[in-house]
Amino acid sequence: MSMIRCIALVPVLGLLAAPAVEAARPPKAPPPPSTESLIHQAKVAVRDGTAEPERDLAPMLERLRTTSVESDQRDLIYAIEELGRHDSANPASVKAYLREAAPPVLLAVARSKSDGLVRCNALMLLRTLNVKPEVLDEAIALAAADTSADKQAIQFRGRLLAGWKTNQPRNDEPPVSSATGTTAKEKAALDFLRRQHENVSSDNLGQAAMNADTEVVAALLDAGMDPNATLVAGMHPLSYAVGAGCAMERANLAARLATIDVLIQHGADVTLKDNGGATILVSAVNCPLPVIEKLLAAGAKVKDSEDRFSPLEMAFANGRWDIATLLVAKGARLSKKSIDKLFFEKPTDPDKLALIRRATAANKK
Amino acid sequence: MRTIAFTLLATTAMFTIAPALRAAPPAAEPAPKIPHMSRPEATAYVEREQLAIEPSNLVSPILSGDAETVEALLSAGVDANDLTDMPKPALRLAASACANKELKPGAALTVIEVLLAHGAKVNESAPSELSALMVAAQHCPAPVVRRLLQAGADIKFKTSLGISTLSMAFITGNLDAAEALIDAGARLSPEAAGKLLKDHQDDKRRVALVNKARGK
Repeated sequence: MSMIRCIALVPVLGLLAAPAVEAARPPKAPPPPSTESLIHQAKVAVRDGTAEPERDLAPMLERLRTTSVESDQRDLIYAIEELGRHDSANPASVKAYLREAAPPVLLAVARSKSDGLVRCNALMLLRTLNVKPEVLDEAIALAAADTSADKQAIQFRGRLLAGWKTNQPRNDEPPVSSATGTTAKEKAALDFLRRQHENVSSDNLGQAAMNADTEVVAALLDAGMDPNATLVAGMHPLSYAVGAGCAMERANLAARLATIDVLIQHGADVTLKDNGGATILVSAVNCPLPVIEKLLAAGAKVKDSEDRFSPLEMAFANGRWDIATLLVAKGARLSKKSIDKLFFEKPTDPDKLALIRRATAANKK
Repeated sequence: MRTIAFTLLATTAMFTIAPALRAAPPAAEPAPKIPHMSRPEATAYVEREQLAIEPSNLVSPILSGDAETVEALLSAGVDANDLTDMPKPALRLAASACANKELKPGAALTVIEVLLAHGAKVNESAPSELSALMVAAQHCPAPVVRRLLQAGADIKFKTSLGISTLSMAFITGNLDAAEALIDAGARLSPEAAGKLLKDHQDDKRRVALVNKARGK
């Protein structure tokens, strides 16, 4: 009987006593993790391909938002830079999360009364993350309006951002491959790229395609880079592979064919044009014949009425009679008038003359 | 003793050739002095100028008509036919330097003499590329054209689209070069002659030259 009473009393007492006790002596909440351990946890998760942004990255941003310890601010900014760098071999989901979630915090730091160098670094980190133009505009405006003791340095960073905004890489963000995190294929590709010190950017995809570096091209595509990314002058990875690539003869034919295969298998579109209106066959005029055959097999068109300059004209102008012969066999035609315009004097060689006659003959069907 | 005899012979030979070269251009510019360096002189020169012994270092002196630096690099060991990092073969670059109006008269020719003395090839293999003579036909005065022909430049060269060296001289309006080519035996096909006279009937010198170049 008394036992029962006791047990019944404890919760009542507990309830009554609790507010008083708390007021007197706060309960021991676990101490907040150190900034160093937050950073370590995030880096390990990203490196292992197991990072969940809300679990592993959000706490860093929250710490940066609330801390006023200068060394912590500095370390956090460096860590976010390392993890979120837009062309790093880190998972696309990590980069995408930091690109979205970090700017409000970074802009707040840039506006704050923190150390001048910390504020400068917060601004420049926006560039490293390749944030949206609207965010850059906000940063540029706040830097221009700065009146603090560090205004010279801050305003200078604003001008750097403004300059970069006009020349910044576009289409450089691989799409996030899966909502749940990093797939095994993406992880393997990123590990390979990290070991090879290769940037994960569409720019680098173009370079690797130009050099017929098939393994790197395949890894970049597996890591989620767009096989049809728009590069300099509206060119695409495939135009690098056949254009500058063939012109520089940087690799052997087998490697070049393999690179083109990988691009096409990953969805490279052989019907795209560059800003000058050049189709892939026009770009490929310096390539060996098997490259042209591969592009045709993949669906490249021998003629396009909108072209200013057709692949056949390009082949004639470059003295590529082998390509011209193939294109004519595949149905490429030119009017007699454009042949007259193209050739100052027609060739005297009978084979070449016969080809020109076939090129101007009516197309069967 | 023997060295002196050789030097005397060489000097005499140069004197006998020089007047023939000089007589050619109507405006009697003094024949430019063609620089020559021994290997130690050349090595000292490139060291002083801090130039690496690489073909790509030829580009700038060739285009600016600096024959001395070209001579120094070639005598110090650069191969005049090495295409590593060269935008174009050396002799073709030298001919394109004629287009630079800031160059002293004769500067391009002097550079060409230096390149030829070091064995630069006059003709190229790739059919779609322009030859040095073709570039000279566009930009250079007649003495340069004559010098390249003398060195064995292919007067029959045509681009893939059928533009001959002589046609090129007419197309760019370099009638002095056209005349030099015709004097050396270049001829026009009826097809080319017709195209070259179209819209140019008022230009008496051009009409006369085209007519001279018709036929065999």
